Amino acid sequence: MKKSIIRKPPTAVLIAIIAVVVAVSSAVAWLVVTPAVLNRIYSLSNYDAYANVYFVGATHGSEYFKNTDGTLNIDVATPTAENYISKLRVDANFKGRGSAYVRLKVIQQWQDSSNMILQSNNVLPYTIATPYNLNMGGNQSAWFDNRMDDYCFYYATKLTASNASYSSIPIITGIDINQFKAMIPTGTVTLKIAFTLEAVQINRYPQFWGIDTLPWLPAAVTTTA
Amino acid sequence: MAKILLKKTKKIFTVAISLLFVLSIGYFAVLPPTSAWFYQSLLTDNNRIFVFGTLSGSQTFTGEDDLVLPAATKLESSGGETLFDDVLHIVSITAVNNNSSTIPARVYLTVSPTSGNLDGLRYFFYSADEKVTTVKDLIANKDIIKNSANDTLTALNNYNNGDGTIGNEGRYVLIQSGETKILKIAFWADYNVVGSTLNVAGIAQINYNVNITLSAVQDTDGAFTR
Repeated sequence: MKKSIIRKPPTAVLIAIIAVVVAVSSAVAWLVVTPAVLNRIYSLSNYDAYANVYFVGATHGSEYFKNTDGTLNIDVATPTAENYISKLRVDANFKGRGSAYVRLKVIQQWQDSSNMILQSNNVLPYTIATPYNLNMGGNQSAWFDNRMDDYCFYYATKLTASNASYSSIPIITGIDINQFKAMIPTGTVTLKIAFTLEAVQINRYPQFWGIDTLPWLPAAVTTTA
Repeated sequence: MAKILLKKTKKIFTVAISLLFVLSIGYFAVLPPTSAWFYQSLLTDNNRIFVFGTLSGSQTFTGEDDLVLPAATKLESSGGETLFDDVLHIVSITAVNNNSSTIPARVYLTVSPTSGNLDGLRYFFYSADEKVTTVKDLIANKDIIKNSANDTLTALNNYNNGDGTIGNEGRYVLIQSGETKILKIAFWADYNVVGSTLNVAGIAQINYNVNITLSAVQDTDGAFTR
């Protein structure tokens, strides 16, 4: 009778298995997931804007000509006067870290010699630094004249600024004096003008300005089936 | 004599190897579930491509961006915010699963502060192939927008990060092997939180130092934990 022999696996095979295991183990350890990371700094701030109103070549600042109600006395008859209409300038000054829409509200009032308010719906023919191009349409870095609707010039794109210092954009750089003279009411009259620069965050103009669409953009068309 | 010595050596060696074998098996057994297989990830900040599934390359990112959020806003339905999308800052990252097999992967997002806190900073994670008119519409489709600010925030956090239960780690984007998807993260500032800080005279600024972390894991619940 032949004696059966149970053969143990050769040591070399065991060593090979161990070598594979060790190799795989080290590979797994090596392939540890490293999440991918992006660093970002987000910031936002409020916005500060005001109209810088002044007269070119004037000794006095505009405050000197300001009434208690905030209006400015404008001379319409004497070209050498400091506050003569053609010397009037208005810039939009703003700062803040974010985006905003701005508009300049212009209110004017004619009075006669007895301080009676005169009816006048004429918009004054200011020279605008960068007038909006109606033929081009869309957003533009220019001033859209919407005074016939709401007495305002709108800067027709989002403004971005910095917190470090005020940025400035000119708005009114003069007036067409001949056109202006033609619209001066008869008699002895005085002109008072007030400017207010308003800034609103770009998602809140419907609430604060009471408009559904920006004046220089076409209104949304609603269709019914 | 030499035969006996050889036999003894063999015995000792066999025991030692068996022990090593058991230890190796044990090592695998105690590995976390995600260790079934691994991704090596590569994210380049310049072109925002997140590549994973390869066994080469290493994680890189270059510098940090300083970005301005246009304004604060509200997500909840009360308050009538109609121009929500106008003030979002959207980060787009191209994610590539170039695993050579057919293994799909989930990509999870974690947003955490690098320093300071993220009070008032909100985000919404989605894939560009989710067809929507606006991000707000997409958020609404996920049933996140509630009437109150608190309920909305709870729903948004659950969507992004899960509800804290095991296997529910929030929104992920599934990417098949060989597939490329554009991942989007929309950020905004919650007016309910930042409004009082900003509504002051002069300029008040709020900064958020943010880490945006993407993790690719296997397509199994529990593979990723926050």
